[in-house]
Amino acid sequence: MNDSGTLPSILTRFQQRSLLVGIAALAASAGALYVGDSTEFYKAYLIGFFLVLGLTLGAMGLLFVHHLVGGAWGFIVQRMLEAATRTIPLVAILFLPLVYHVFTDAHPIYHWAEAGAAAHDALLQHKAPYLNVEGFAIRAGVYFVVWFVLIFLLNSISRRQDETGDGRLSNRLGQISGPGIVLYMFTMTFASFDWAMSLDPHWFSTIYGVIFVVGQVLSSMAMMVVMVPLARRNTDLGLAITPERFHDLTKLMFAFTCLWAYVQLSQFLIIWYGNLPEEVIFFHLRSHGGYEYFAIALVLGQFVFPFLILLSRWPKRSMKWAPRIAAWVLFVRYIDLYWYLMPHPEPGTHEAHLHFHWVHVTAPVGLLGIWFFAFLWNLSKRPMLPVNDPRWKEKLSHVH
Amino acid sequence: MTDQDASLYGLVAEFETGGELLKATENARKAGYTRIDAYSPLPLHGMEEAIGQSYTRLPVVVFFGGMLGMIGGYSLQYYTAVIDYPIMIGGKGLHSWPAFIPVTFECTILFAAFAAVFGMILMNGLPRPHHPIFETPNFDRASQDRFFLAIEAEDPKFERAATRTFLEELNPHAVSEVTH
Repeated sequence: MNDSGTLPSILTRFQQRSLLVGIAALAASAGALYVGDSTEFYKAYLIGFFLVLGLTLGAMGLLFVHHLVGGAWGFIVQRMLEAATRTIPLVAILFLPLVYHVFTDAHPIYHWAEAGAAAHDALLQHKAPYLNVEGFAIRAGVYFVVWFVLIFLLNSISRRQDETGDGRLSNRLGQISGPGIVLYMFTMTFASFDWAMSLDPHWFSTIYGVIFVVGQVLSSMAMMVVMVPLARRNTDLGLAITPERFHDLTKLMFAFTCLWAYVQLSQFLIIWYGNLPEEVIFFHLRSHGGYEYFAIALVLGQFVFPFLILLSRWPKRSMKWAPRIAAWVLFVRYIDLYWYLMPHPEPGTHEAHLHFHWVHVTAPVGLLGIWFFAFLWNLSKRPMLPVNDPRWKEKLSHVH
Repeated sequence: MTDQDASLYGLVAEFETGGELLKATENARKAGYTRIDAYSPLPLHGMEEAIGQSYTRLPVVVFFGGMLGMIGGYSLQYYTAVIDYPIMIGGKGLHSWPAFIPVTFECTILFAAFAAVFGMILMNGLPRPHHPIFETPNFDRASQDRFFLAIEAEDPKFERAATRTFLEELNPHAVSEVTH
């Protein structure tokens, strides 16, 4: 074992601290459960869960894209993306509390899961063959099995290539990536329907899953831009990163920023045009009662601000500034999910009111802390570059 | 320009590979020549840095082209929907800005693209029916299989004899004097 697989000391320190912060924040959050704020806890937990799920599955999506197009930028971050996907067992475990909650809580965050909820609700009766707790658990199992298999294939083939240097394995990675993207889209669409959209079981939007996928890929790309300058102190990666290759990464982050705005606007524009009461309720709840500030913050923070800055060339090539913008993008992912998952109408009304609870912060911080520990632990286990991939050897002679 | 007659455009060296041209360009920059240009039938990675052309004002032109398209596209819709031919549709108000966004976006892209293409053409000094470089012997092969490096006579470091020696040391296929 050479030292190419070891982490730079700055990341080792970060790894230990993130575990401590994660455990402390989760323990504090569990306190909210004991004092009876179960709804607040699980809503906050759901936000944190979607954040770590996004960093995991977004990495899987980027790996698919990388193996299909094979640009040099992909080889720089391939090992970090693989390390992120290998946290999927942890993510599956972190999902279990939500299953437990749906089965046991008298007032689950998913209204449809409440005993007797469908009795006076014709629409819920109609949707009951899909929206029931057993189906919820079985479908979740199916999604995780699909993700496990895809992630296992990506990692095991790449590992075998490390050991044998077999060039044909690169083609195998490409062959699973095409179907992989399709499966990712399908499973994540249904997962977002089950876990997020069904928070309001009367409301529906077909682009909902795409919005989640784009958000996930955006968060993974932003995390790579943050990680590359930190991890380059590792010698192998430091030599491989050229300004051109770093520029490619930030260009992709810029592209996903625009794509995020595009899919969000697509949903908004169609609902706004149609102006049907059962559809506009989504944006009505999210533009009143305090949530309008979140909406404005999102438009400015997730689109206008990063767009205007990343439009220029120099911030995209700056190893100092690009990671700061990427960190901001990651932070706004939290605001986005908060705005999506938190608003809930007061009983008997069509109005939602923003109310902060400290667990809204501590639960996501706790999940992210534990996830980052697992991610960095995975990262330290393998060499930082796929040096035996013939496609990478070929790239070494080029600037791009 | 020091001791040349005014009709001289410069000295042009002809190379057989892109690698040689890239190296020659780097050497010319290192030797202090600034008015140089390289001609190649295919894009050469690293040529941008070698020739020292790191800054262009084209992005600024494109940005303002995009801004013009954005303002123009929005104004067009505002004028038609609110001032010139107001019709209430779906009870949404005359100035229903969400419906204006797609067209505004498309106009931004269109005008930015126009600014990029026409700005590039104008800033490159085009259209231009003739350029002295075409007097170089064999120059038609610059679009096939030969690579050329020109050092212009206007370069402050240019001296006919010394520059010719410098170019010949780079091991070219040929060095020619090109006149206006």
